[in-house]
Amino acid sequence: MLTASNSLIDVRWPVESVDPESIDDLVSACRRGSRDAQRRLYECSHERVYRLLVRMVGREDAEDVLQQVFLQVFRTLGQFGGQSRFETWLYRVSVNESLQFLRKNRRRRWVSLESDVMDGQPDQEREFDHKELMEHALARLEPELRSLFLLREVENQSYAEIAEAMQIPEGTVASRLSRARQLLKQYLVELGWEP
Amino acid sequence: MQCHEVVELLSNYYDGELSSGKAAAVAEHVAVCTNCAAELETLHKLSDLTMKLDQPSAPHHVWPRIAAQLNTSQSRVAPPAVSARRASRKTLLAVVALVLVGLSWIAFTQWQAHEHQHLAVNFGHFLDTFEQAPDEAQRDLVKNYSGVPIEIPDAIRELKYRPVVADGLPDDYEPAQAYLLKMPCCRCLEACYHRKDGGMLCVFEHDIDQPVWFGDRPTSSKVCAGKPTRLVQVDGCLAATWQQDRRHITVIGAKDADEVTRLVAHFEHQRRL
Repeated sequence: MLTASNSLIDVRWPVESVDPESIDDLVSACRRGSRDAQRRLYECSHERVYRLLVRMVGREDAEDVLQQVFLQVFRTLGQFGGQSRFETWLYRVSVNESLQFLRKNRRRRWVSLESDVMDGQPDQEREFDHKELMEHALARLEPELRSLFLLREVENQSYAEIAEAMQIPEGTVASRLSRARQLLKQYLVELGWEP
Repeated sequence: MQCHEVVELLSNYYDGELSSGKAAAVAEHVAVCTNCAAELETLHKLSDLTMKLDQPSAPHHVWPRIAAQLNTSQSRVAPPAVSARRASRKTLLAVVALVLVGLSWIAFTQWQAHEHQHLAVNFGHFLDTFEQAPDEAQRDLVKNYSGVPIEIPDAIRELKYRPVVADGLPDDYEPAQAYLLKMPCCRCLEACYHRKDGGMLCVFEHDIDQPVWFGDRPTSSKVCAGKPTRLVQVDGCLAATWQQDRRHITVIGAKDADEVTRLVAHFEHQRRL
């Protein structure tokens, strides 16, 4: 029996054993300029940001963008009003910084291509790892769709949280996520995946 | 509910984001419709694939860099007590600086756009003339990108990595000449070969994917020897580009997709040795 499943794997924030109250305390201490609090906030949150960035800008540049994200976080923490969770705000900064990086660097990943324009033969490369297929299919998605898909599927964010992080209406989250999944399926099939 | 209505709601349903009434209607339909059930199953499989992705860990040296930057900016913004007159002078200077930064930024973006266009034009010319007059194409490319002939051992020292061509190509290619090109993306190694059955093949190794090189030429994607590869029709031959470790390989002058597959397999085999 098929059922809707968004609770199979609960990897919600903060996985690094910091309860929300502590996060609030850390944020307050960071605002007061405590370098120790900044380090602790970084320690408990940077891994998830890095994982998102690796798939947004690539492993080679993720480190630089990670640095930029946290510099931006600590410099603008005063603007974080606490209306949303810190986690959501951090995702917003991360997505914004990665999209800005991609725009600035004119990074083009796997461009959208018609399949087999010149060669109609089916691919024989069945040994191609499914994990790699997924990496390449993800890389082909438009960055906005990719960030949305990752926030949902990897970071397990709700539609409301994604809407807040990406500053778009919830209805748009739903339609874009559906579109992202359709495209991913299409790209995977083009690469030889059999659903 | 009809299939087309269900398909539109399936992603929301899968995420548990539908109202209970709609979710029940979708569940009822999926229980009796094999097509929609298969679509839902695909969403499960996409999640499974996503969860299997590697979870890379951040390097340890990032925090010290952030802390150093924060220290620097903190010392820069230490606010001294200033008189109103000095403050207004500072404001004026800040406005002037802002205008200068703005103008510099505009100039920079225009320069960047120009470089981008320049790169596309130069490489487009190389592709246009490659098949008919490969020597001329090569001469112009080297001239446009301040290329210098280089031996592979010297290239290894210059580039500080071992290029994929360092261990040679299959026996049916004879090395002609390698060049180190100063391209906007990076220093790029180009190695040229004569094919024993005629024709020329050039192999470029570069840091960044360069779709701009190919403009709007017909393009397709194909998995060649396990690597997603972009194939581009260049007159009567093919160009192909794929990622190899941290860099990108582009070959110009392949006869067909089979030759590209052999080359991808060859470089992959060399890498594993």
